[in-house]
Amino acid sequence: MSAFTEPREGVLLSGGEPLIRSDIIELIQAARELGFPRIRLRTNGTPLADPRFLHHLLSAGCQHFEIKLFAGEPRFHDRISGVSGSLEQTWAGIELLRRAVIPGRRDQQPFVGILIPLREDNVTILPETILALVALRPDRIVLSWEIATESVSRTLPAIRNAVNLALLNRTWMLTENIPLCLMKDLEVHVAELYLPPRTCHEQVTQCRRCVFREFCPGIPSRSLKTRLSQEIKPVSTSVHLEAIRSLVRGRRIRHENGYEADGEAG
Amino acid sequence: MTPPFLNCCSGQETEVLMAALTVTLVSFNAEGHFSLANGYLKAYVHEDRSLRHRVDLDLVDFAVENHDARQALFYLSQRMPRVLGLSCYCWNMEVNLELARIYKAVAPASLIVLGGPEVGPIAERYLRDNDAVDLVVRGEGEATFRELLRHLAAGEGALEEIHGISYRRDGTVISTPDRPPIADLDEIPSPYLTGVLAPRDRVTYVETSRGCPYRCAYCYEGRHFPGVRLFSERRIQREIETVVRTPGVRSFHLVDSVFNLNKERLRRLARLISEVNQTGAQILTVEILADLVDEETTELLRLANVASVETGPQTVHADTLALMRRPHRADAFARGVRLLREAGIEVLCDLIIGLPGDNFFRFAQSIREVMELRPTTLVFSILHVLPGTDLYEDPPHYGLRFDARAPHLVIDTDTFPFAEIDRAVLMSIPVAKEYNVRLD
Repeated sequence: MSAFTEPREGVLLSGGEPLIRSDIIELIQAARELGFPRIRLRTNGTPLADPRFLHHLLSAGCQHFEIKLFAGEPRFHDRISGVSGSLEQTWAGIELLRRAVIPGRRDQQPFVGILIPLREDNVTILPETILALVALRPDRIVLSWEIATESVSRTLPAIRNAVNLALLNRTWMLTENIPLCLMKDLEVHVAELYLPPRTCHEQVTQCRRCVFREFCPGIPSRSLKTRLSQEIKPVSTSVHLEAIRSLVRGRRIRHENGYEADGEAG
Repeated sequence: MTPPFLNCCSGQETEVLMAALTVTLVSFNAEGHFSLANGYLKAYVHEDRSLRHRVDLDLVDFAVENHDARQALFYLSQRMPRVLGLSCYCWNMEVNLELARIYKAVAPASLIVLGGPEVGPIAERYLRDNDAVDLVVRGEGEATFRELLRHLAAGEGALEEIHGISYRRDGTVISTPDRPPIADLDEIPSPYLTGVLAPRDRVTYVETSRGCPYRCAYCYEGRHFPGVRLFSERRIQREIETVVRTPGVRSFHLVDSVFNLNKERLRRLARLISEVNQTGAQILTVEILADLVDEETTELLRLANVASVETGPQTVHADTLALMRRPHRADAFARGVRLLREAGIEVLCDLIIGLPGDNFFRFAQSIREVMELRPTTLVFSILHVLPGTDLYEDPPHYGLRFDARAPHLVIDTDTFPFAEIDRAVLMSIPVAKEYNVRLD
């Protein structure tokens, strides 16, 4: 996840867990030699708790981190990750990252984003997770919708609450994979609006009547047959429409079902 | 209440004439920096032979982020100056007023003088709202401050004859007529050449001109100092020579509202700088208009050993730029940034959050479009509605509301509600960091 910046400006090392590779430092060095100015790493963060390893990563050229975290409490996080004690290590990794400076640049710290995959089994603990995280002062938190079965109308208040808690604590938050109609009045937090063109998710029949259809992230395929698709309601008007249209102008968005929209078409 | 400074010239004037008038000029700056403005004041005062032995003037700098009024008060309590001068900008007003208030209580007979762009345009308001403040120097300070010290230390002239000041007398705030800016800038002795300021690496500023030919609605410079006044090339040459020969100084900055405004002058300055800069010191920052950059400009900037330049565009939206009266040609700007980058010169692009006519997603579009130009660094700042600017003078015209207290942050506009501005600020912090953290 990289808000705004273009793909060729950076490379994302993701997985699985990229840090289990024994050649990860060499991979980062290779990316650096290829001239990528930003090398990002999406990781569960546990190996970062080792200060020497972290120093190697930073020195090799990895200075943007996205730490995947399920919850701020071990009984939730460790159960989902399947590894007992993993939250403690992830937490230690984030703490270390927040104190780290980039070798050779005393005044610059690495970028630390947090990615929270939103699931049926961590929604209830979301406020506690956000409150614990903001105390670590991450640069940004992203909530990524991965729920297949839960009702949106039940989950949405938790998301709105999480956004407000983050803002209250002066931490910027974005959402991923959540249709714009569900993010009404919180449109500014929809990550997809700032991302380079990419494939979007499915749209349903109601979407054809929605003013946001041209640039909506759509619905993840796995959610199509769930209550999510039934809860989709087209948006008939928005004060942001013209400005969003202008923001995404010129970007072709291709949906998984073949529907193609052009930012300029609407 | 009779202000204490009147006593200086009546009851106690003999004593003042016998002993040197102690003056301390305090400046709260960005960490590690020192005040060039106070350096000019001291150099200009010292040039006056009649004042040299009558005034004992010292300068003291603090970091606005790390120091507080108590530390300045400790210093002042050791010296107990009769005149305390405070260099006022929107970012240091809070601490300046705290310092003024407490020092006045510590030394009731002292004269507390404010100067600088934050107070000049609204001098009477600052005097009305702050009992501790005795006098405000409006506009360009050198000549006015020297005249004031002549009056205080040598009893010359009457206070009301000094142009460019506002003060309180018998509870009434009085403003004398404005003083025109100094026509020949070389009249002001160089703080570096006179030894008033010692150049230091990374924080030394060499001023090459004052004023601005443009009149952007959010900026103070063009409105109050229309037209550009230049320091002579000989003066600039000698200053740079002194700066680069100072042991340990490997870089410095230029102060010039648009360094590349006049190609012929840029040619002369670039050659001059390259000739005197025998140590290869870098010019870390200079403000330019990217729209005016062509291949020759980048060659000249390289010749002058300019490492990085700062440029707009503040917003990419033509209607907002027109409302702000900021010159901008998008294609020329993009080309300029590209040429600079290709020449190996770092480009710092500024965007302002909260300009009238903008909104959240229009700001996001500005970010996107400026990022596509691949500048080296992005800097976002919330709109400060500075005293003396068009925005400050006529907010209804711009559909604008702002905090009356410094730093005068925008509250909202007709197009940009408060909650959206607040979110734009919160978004801009990680976006800037994510972009600016990069490998060389």
